[in-house]
Amino acid sequence: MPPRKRRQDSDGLEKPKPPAKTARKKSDKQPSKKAAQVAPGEALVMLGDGAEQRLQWFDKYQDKSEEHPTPTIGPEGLEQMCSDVGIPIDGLEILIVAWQMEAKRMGFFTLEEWQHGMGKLGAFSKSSLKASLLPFQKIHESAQQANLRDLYKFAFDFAKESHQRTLPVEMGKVALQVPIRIAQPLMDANDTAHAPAIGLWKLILPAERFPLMGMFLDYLESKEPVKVITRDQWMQFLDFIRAVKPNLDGYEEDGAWPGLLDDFVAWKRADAEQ
Amino acid sequence: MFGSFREGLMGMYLFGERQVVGMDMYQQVYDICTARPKSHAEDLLQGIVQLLLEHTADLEESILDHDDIVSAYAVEWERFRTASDYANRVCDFLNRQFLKMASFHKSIQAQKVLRLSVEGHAFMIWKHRILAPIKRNHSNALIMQLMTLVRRERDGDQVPSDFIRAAIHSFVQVNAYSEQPLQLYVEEVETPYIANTIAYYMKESATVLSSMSISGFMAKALARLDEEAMRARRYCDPTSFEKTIQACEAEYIGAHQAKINSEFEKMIVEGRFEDCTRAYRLLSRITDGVNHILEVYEKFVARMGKETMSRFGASFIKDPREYVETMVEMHAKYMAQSIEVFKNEPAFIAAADKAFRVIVNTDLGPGGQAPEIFARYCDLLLKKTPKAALSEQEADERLNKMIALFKYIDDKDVFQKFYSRALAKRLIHGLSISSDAELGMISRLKAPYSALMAQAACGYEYTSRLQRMFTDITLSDDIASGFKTFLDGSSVKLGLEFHVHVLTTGSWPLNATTSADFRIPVELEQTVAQFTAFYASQHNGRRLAWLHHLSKADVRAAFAEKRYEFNMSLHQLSLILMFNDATTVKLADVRELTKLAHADIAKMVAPLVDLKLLAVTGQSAEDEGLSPEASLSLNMAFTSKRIKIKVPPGASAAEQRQESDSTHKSVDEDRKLYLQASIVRIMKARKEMTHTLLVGEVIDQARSLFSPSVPMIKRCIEQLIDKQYIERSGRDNYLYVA
Repeated sequence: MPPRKRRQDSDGLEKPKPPAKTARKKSDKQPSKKAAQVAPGEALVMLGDGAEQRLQWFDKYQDKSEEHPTPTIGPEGLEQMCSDVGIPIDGLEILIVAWQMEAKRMGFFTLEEWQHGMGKLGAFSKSSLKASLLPFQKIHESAQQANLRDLYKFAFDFAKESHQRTLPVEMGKVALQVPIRIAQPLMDANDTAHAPAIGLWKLILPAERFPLMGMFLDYLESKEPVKVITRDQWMQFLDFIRAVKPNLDGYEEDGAWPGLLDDFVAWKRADAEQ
Repeated sequence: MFGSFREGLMGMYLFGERQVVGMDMYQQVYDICTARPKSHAEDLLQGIVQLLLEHTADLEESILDHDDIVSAYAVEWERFRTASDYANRVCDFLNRQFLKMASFHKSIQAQKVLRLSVEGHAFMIWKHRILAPIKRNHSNALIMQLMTLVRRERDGDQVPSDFIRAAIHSFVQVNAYSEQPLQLYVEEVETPYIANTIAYYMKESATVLSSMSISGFMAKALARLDEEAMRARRYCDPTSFEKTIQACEAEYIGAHQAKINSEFEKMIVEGRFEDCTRAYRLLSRITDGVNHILEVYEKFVARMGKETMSRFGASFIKDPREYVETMVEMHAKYMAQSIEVFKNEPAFIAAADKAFRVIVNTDLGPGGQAPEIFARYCDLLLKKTPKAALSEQEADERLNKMIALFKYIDDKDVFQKFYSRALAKRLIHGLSISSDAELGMISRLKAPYSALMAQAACGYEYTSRLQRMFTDITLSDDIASGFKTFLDGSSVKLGLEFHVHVLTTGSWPLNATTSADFRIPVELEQTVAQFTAFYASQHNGRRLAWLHHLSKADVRAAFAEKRYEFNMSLHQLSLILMFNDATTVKLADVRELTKLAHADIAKMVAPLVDLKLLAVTGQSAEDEGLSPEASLSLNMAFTSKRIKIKVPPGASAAEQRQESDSTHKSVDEDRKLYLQASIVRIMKARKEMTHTLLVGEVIDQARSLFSPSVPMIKRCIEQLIDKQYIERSGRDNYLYVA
C-alpha cells in the first residue's frame, strides 16, 4: 500500500512565495497546542540568565498581529532576522537554529522555542548567534558525527506536513530550481508548510562532500522511482551513506537496505557497466 | 619310542605309502609327555622341529626346479599344510602341555613361544625355510610368476587358477599364528597384486579408449569391472576385494571420467540410452561420479521441454488442452526414462523433477503461465459443453494426469484464484459435468496441498472454501423448495418459475456488480420482493445482495411462427421484455428503464442483433459501434432451425483478457497481505530477528503457495516499519513492536 498522496504537487509552487497574509490568516485555525499550554512567563523564569535580553531581541521580530495565541515570530520577522544576522533564509544555518529550538512549525518560532533554542546556543543578539553557529559549520564534515544524525532526524519531521507520514521527493519540477526555504516555507492549499526531500538532502548532505548523495539525487530525478520518502527510507539513507563507499563497496545485496536503495545500487551498477 | 613317532610323522609329511595310524601316534605323544620320572615333552618338540627342518631343506630346491613354480609350490604347500594339520592333531596333548607351562612363565616372550602349537612351529619353518629364501635368493620368483599368471589370465590365457588361489592363500594361512596374520599377505601379495592391476588397466583403458568408440569403451569397462570383481573374489583374501575393485575403477572410470562426462551430452541428445545407462552404471561407482551427468540430464530435459512448449506460440490462450496434454505426455516420457535408463536412481528422478519445475514455470508470454493455463484446462474438462467430446471418466483420467504436474507449479495461488473463479461460474450457471467430478477434483487438489502445507495452514482453508461453494449450491435447492411451499401457502401467484442461488459472501470469488443501478424488469419485481420477504422470515438478520449481472432467464417468444425459447442474461431479458409493448424501442428509453450504462447495453445487444432477433435502426453509417441515439426493432419474421436458443451474454475477448489481468492483480494483493501477515506472525513469535533469517523464514512459509521475490518481501517489511509493527535495530536486524 503506497502512502496516500494528499497534496497536489504544483499547487504551492506556481507561487514560490505564497503571500504571508494568507498564511497568517489561515494559521489561526490551528493554534499551536503546546505553546498555548505553557505561559511565556514560566519559560522566562526557568531559563534565567540572558532570558531578558533574548526576550527583547524576540520582541524585535515578533508578529504583533492578533492571530497568534502565544508570542510568535512569523515568516516576515524571520526573514528580517536572517538578513540582520547575515545568514540566508534558505540555508543550513537557519535549519540548525530551528533544530536547536526544536521548532514545531516551519516558518514560525514561538517564544518558548526561542528561549529554549537560543538559550542552548547561548545567543542573545545577532552577533552572538552568528558566533554560536560557528561550531556547527563542520557538522557535515563527516557522516559519522552524532549530532548530524540528530539534525537529520529533526529535519524530516520539521519538513513534512504534520499529519503526513512521508515527505514528498520534490514539489513538482519547479522546486528543483527553487532552493528550500526554511525561514519562508512553501505553503500548500492546506496552509501547511513543508519542504521537499531533495532540497533538504542537498542542504544537510551536500553532494560535494557526499558523492553518493549526488548520485542518489540523480537517480531520484532521472528515474522518479518514488514520489514520497518514508521516515525509514530517510533515516536509512544516512546509515547507507555512512556504511557504503562512493564506489559502492560495503553494500551487500542481501542486506536489509530499503528496496529504494537496492534499486538505486542496481541502477548505478547498470549505469557503470555501460 | 620317539623313533616310531618320528617315522609316523615322516610318513605324514611325505604322503608315502606307509599307513599312519593317528591313534597310535597320539598315544605315543601322550606317553612321551607323561614319562616318569621326567617328561620328555620338550625333547619331543625339539625332535619335531628338527624333523621339519630336515624335511624342508630340500623342498625349496625341488620347487624351484620346476618351470611352473606356482603350481609346484601350491602342491607342496597343500601337502605341508595338510600334514601339519594332522601333526597338530596328534600332538594335541603336547600343545596343551605347553599351554599349561606358558601360564607359569612370567616373560611374555617365553609365553609366546610356549603357546605356539606344533602347526604354528611348522608354519614358521615354512615361512623361514621356503618363502624367505625364494624371495631373497631367487629374485622373488614365486610372486613374479604369480603376477605373470594373473596377467596372462587377464589377457585371456588359460591358467591353473586353483594353484594360483592356493599359492596366494598360503601367505595368509602360513602367518595365521602371528600377531598380525594378514601382514605377510598384504606386503608380499596384495601390494604387488594391486600395483599390477593398476598398471595393467591404466594401459588397457587408454588403448581401448583410443581404439574404440565411447560406447565400446564403456561396455568393455563394465565387463572388465565385473571380471575383476570375480577374480579378486577367487584369488584374494576378502579384505583385498574392495581395494582391488577401487583400483580398477580408478583406472577405468576415474581416469576417463572427463571423457565420459563430455560424451554424455551427445549420448542423451542422440537418444543412445544404452550408453547412458552404461555411463550411469560406470560413474555411479565412484564418489560424486554422477554429479556432472545429473546436471547435463537436468539441463537436457529442461531444454527439450522448453523447446517443445515454445512451439505452441500463443495457441494456449484459445485452447489450453494441447499445452497441458503435451506437457503431461512429456512428463510421463521423461519420468519413464529416468526410471528405465538410470535404473530408478532417485537422484535422476529428482533431476527430472527439477527440470520440470523449470519447464512448467517458464512464462510463455501473456496468458502463458502454467497456473492460469492449468486452471483453464480444468475448467474446460469440467464444463458441460454442447459438443461434449469427453466422457466424465475420460475427463477424470486427464485431470488425474494433470495433477502429476501440478506439484511443479510455483505460483499455486495463481492457479487457485483462476480455478475458484472458473468453478464459481460453473456452479452458478449449472455448467459442471457432474458434482462428483467437481468434488473429485477438489479432493485431488487437497491432497498435494495438505501434504505441502503442514505448517502454512492455508491450503486446507483454500480447498474448504471451494467446498463451501458447493454447500451453498446444495442449500440453495432446499431454499428453493422452501420458497415453493411458502408461495403455495400464500395467495400470491408469480406466473413464472424462479430459482435463486444464495451464496455466502466471502466464499465466492465474485466481483461486486458493475451495474449497481440496474433496475430489474417490472415483471420480476414482485417475485424478488416475495423471495426477499421469504428469506428474511427464514434467516433473521441476513442481508441479501442481488447479483443481477450473473442472473439468467428463459423466455418464450409468442410472436413468431414457432414458439422459440431463448436463454439469456437478466440484462438482456430486461431489454427483450420491452418488446412486449412495442416493436421498436429507443435506446434512450432502454437506458431510462434499466439504468444500465450505454456500453453495457451495446455489449448485450450485439448478440441479439447477431441472431437477427433485433435490428438496429436510426444508426448512421459513420457511427462506430452502437449510437446512443439509435433504436432497436424486433424482427417479426425471425426464424431459426432450433427451438431452444442460447443467447451469449456478449463478453468480448478483450474482456476475458481484462478478467485475467484483474485476477492476477488480486493475486498480487493477496500475496502482499499474506507476506505482511506472515512477517508479523514470525516477528511476534521471535521478537527480534536478522534480515536474512526473516526473509528466509518468510520464503519458507510461502513456498507451498508461491515463491515470493526478495524485493517484494522487503517492500512488505518496509510497509510494516512504516506502520510501526516492527522497527530496525542496528544494521540488518528487526524488532517486533508490541
